[in-house]
Amino acid sequence: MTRGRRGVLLVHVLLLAGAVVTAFPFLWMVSSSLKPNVEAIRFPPTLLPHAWAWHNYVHAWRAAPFPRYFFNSLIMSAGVAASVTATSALAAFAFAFLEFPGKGALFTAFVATLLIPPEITLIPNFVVITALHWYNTFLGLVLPLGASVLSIFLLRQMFLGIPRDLYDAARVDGCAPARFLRAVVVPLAAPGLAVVALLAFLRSWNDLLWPLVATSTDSMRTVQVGLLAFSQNVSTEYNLLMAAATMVVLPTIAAFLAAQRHIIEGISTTGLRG
Amino acid sequence: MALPASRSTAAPSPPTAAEAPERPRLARARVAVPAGLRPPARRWTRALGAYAYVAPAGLLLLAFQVYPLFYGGYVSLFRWGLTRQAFLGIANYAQVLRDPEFWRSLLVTVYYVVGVVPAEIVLGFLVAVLLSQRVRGRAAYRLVYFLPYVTSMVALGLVWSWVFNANFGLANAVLRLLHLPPQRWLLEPRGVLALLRGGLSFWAGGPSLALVCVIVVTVWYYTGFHAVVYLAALAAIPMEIHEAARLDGARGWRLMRSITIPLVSPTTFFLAVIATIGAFQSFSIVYTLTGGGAAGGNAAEAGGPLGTTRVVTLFIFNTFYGEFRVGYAMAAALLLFVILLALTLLQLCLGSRRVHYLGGAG
Repeated sequence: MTRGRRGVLLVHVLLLAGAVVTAFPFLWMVSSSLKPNVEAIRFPPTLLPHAWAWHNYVHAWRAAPFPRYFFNSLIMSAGVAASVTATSALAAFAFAFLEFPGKGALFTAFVATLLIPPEITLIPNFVVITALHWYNTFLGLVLPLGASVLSIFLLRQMFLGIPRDLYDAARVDGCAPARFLRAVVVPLAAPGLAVVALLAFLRSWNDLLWPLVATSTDSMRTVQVGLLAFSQNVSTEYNLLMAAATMVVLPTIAAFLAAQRHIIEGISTTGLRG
Repeated sequence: MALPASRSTAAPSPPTAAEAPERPRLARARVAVPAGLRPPARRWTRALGAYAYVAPAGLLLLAFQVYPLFYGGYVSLFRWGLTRQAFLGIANYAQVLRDPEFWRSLLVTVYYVVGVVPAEIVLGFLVAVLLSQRVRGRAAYRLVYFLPYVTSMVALGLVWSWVFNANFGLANAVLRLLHLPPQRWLLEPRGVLALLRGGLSFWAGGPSLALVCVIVVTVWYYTGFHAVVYLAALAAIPMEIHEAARLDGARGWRLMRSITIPLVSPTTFFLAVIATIGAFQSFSIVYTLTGGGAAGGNAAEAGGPLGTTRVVTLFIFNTFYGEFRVGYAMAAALLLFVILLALTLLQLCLGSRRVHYLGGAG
């Protein structure tokens, strides 16, 4: 498709310009997080810090209960990832391999729940969580996000790629479905399961609305809610705010870089939109 | 987690071919199982086993997706604060429909959706076309463009609200370097048209500058996602079609307009639907940009300045969480759901007529 040298150059220039626009806020965040406060709000602004204020990170870490926020987010996201992966793998296995009455209708019903938007479920779920005394608990944070139809869909597609003959042969040899799932499907679909787990982790790590509504105390706040609360308390210490933001973003970027090819494929096939 | 061993309790008999679900007819004929011996019972235990696999996900979905839809409908019929109070019937709905704040938030939402969706799609397509060219460093570019999408909206929202900070922000620093008057950005309630021309009334001024900033950030956030989805669609176009068109003399823009754009139209359609729904439901990014501390506001005022960025989800959230009028907020949420559903159906009707599918495969 490329048309000669000038065409290639033009493509590069455009791509580079777009990449700069995309990456700049990230670089600005990191750069600002390392400036002393006076420099952070100076005009004209400096691109890179003149004096590198590494201690901003220590200050930010101590200025709010960030260790607690990180712990909470870690527990919540790990819980959601575990729940989503386990429930999706089981359901996807049934939809891909087992025969049972009402299978098609049930799958349609599952997919139809995608039509129910989050702003509908938010308020009733809050009322239910409160009535069950799950307000301000990990149970209340995790369970409402604990199943994902898109993950079931993604895994089912992946499982359907495993030859049906393999299943039939195993059954003839007396292998129970549960054992087939454990011994054959899980190892074969391990990359897919990892993507589902990672996407669920990222989604709940980045979630703001549900933890904002389902928790109220500092001891149960997640990083997103905590970061927002911190932003309302720091007044003009933007360098500290940017340091905190960098810390919150760092784990997700690390996870993304580690598995970016699989994540991008997973997202582009299911069309997940956060 | 107790995995259901679907059949192990049912039959200690040696595994016969009759148990293999896919070829029972053939096998049964050969092994000659005595008629009426267990198969119905076994079929039921097997089905029960299968349901046990679906149950965990199914129950969670039932409890936290399906039930809320109905329970929300119930809640919306009451005056509901911390707990249920007086039964109101459809009075909540009637009141929402008479509430100027609700209609205003819908107008803001329409501005937002109209600003966001086409820009995301066009930019996403352009980036995808550029990325699909055979140039060095494609993988690295793709990575960078996709980065915002996996990152916290709160963190990025705070970065942007600092960029747009009226006193120390980068945006005003750039304007000053260009000898242009500084702007108040996210604190500017006046419409962009009014800013450009002056003298326009509040409503003729169009979306506020603050809302335009929110739109820009949203587009920035989602463009990479759209590009990645488009990239997959572009890769699926068979090379022969391009070759054939080029042999017929199609070049550049003509190739794009007559071949590429029609062939990715299913993806465009899909993205348009997804993006519209997503934009109607946007919360975190608007909330952070207009309510987060860096913009100078506070959470209770999210949707400022003067409510010009209060999209409908923010209106619902404020009535629900700020004012604790739970029944009222629920009625507004359900009305939004109905509007959105109607809009999506309309999109599906209009879109299906214009989309070109390749070889029926979709």
